Amino acid sequence: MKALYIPTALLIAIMVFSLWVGRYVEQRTDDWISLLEQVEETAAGENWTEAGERLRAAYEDWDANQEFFHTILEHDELDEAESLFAGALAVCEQEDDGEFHVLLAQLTKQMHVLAETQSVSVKNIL
Amino acid sequence: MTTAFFRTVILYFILIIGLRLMGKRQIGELEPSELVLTLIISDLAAVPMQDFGIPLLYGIFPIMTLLCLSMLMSWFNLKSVRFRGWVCGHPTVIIREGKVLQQNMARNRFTVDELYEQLRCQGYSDLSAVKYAILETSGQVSVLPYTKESPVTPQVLNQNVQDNVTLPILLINDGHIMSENLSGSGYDRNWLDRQLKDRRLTSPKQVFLMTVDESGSVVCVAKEGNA
Repeated sequence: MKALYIPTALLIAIMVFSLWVGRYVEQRTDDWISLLEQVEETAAGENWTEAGERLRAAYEDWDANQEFFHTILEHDELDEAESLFAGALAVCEQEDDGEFHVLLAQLTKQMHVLAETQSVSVKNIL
Repeated sequence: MTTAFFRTVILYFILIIGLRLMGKRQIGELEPSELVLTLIISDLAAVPMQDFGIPLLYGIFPIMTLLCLSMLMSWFNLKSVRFRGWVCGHPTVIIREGKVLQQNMARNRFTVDELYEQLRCQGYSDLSAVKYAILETSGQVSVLPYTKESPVTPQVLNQNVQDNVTLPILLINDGHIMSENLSGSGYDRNWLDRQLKDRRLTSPKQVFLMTVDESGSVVCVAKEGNA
């Protein structure tokens, strides 16, 4: 019966881990999206100093998760988000409202993409 | 480059473990599903080995999943004849009583050329020598010739011969004593040392190969330069 239990247990473990990874990525990206929304609201009020601080805090939180994220997500997608963060931080310092809005929208979209790649959906499976 | 090195080492050991779990059969003896599995696993291992933009887990998880499924399939194959037939197929008779069953050959997309190739491989140049030929699930053809074409055995000649087939057990393998085999055969180190002394050898390290069979007959091959 060992030949039945061990592979079954391993398969269940792999599936549970995969589901947990999907849920974890979704939770973390939701956190960052809500932080980015706060940054956008602050920037809309022309409070660039606070917007910069909030964006930096979001980036630091993002950066702290990168080691684990690189073991579970495709590096290209993460590098794309990393570039958008860097761009948004630079534009925030220049207080360029138009470009900042575009970069934040792209960054938010990229967060959605990251969560989407790990979600269990017919679209992804097929 | 270091990434490639470490990824290759990790994947290599995972593949070794995986292939070990799959059993001892060789490529030519694999069932179609096992052959496909082997090919997929090697491909899955190659991708994260070369592309560092893909997490290693993207290679490891599918490989482990496939191996687990393969082990489960093996288990179900053992437990259920119907399941085994469904997964591996059934052997098909393609020659019965010397008659080629063309429908069975066509059903298995087995050509005349392939049939002749398999017959030649087994030493039959002529269909008339073959009474039965069975296409096995592995793709090999088992050939049963007519009695008049079969190799002569003592039984056919009504000869009584003494059964003296014995199983040699390896006691020394390239200088290394196989302790489990030695004790399992009912001998000990003292006996082994005496055997070596009888052959003017002082140490097992001087022996390339030593076996003993059930009748106690010892075969010893000394390493070159020690003889």
